[in-house]
Amino acid sequence: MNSESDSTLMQLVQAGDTAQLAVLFERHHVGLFRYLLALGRDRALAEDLVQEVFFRVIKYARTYDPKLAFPVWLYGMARNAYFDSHRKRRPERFAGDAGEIESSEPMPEEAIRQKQDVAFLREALAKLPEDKREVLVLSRYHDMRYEDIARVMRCEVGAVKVRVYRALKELREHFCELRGEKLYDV
Amino acid sequence: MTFEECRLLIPEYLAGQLPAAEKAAFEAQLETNAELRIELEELRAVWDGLKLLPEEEPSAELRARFYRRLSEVNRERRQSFRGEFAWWKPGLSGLVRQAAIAILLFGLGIFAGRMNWDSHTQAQDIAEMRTQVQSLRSIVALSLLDRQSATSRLEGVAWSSRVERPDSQLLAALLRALNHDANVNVRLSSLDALEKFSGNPEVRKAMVDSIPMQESPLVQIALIDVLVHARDNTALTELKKLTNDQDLNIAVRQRARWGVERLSAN
Repeated sequence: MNSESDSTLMQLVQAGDTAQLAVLFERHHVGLFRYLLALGRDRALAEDLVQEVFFRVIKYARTYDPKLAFPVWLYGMARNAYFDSHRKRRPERFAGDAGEIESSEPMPEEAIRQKQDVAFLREALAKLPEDKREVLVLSRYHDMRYEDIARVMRCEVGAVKVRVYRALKELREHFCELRGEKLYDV
Repeated sequence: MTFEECRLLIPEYLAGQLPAAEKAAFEAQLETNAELRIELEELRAVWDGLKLLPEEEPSAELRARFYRRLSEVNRERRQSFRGEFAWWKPGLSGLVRQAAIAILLFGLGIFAGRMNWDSHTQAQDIAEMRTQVQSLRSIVALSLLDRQSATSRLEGVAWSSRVERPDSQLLAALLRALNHDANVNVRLSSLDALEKFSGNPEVRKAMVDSIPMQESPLVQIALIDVLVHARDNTALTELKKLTNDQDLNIAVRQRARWGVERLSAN
């Protein structure tokens, strides 16, 4: 396994060794795909954009600053690519969305409830406005610190802090609504 | 720290990303503030729940498309670099023009020379492209062999089979998979991939060394077959040990006996 850091590989790409992009692709394409899928909820679009973003890496390699974590630069570029293109297409729904119980075999009550909760949570996440869904996905699934999220989203760290909190609150509201529970706000 | 300020820290606290001082202040508030405790637990439920959502995987087509396009980009870059170099080189533009006039004047002879140059350049292009494709395949194979999922590792072995002359790093990764992979199918596939290189004495030696490491009868029999097929007499000692090992699967012992007979006859 190639153990060079992302930053070293990017410097090689900057110097014209584009074959190194393959290593960066292998390291980051799945995460990037999930981020773009969470944003646009469209598999085909997410895959197209992953490809597009990696070729933007070559095109804009000179603008990469090695002091910046590579994923932050990459996700920022992915975000731009997404906003450039996503409005042209219609979102598709995820397979298995919205509380489907696919198996015909009888399941224990607890397992059914858990499966339903997962489906409700997924639907609740889909109901969030794009900016809240994005900030939550970056924070929860990509373990990004607020400083890095702020760089990706080009906003203040304070704004990220407020947005993540509100996103989580709203997610819970949608989730409880889908479960038919009443909310007692504190 | 006010209650409102504390609430905003909940997600960072749940993510374990609060700096020590803020964490201590937040926990001090938790001790005394029941509302904050309730809200923390409510939000923790959805925060933890998010990790239960199944993770989506991109299709295999994405990787194939990416590598196709990367090869194209590399080829285009090489060609454009060569073009720029030939025409841009300072001080040579006059000579290039003269050469062009010479081509016109001397006709067929120069044309033939140019044809030779073209075919030489093309051959160079093809050789460079082949090296680059091989290197890309090797990178993909190594990366996939390192994955957690057995399906990905199998895919990695498949990619390695497409590398004509694997370097020591790829061979080592395949041998590591043969000896230590938790999945028997990955071990068997690695052996299949390595068989192509059984002409290499180091690979054969590693295969012989691998025999006592294997526990699966399937892999042991496959290893015996590969070594017998490669007519490697250095495997005799290990095979004889297998024939005498009473704890071993009977089919493996029989195959080892067969192997000893075949190799002794060589």
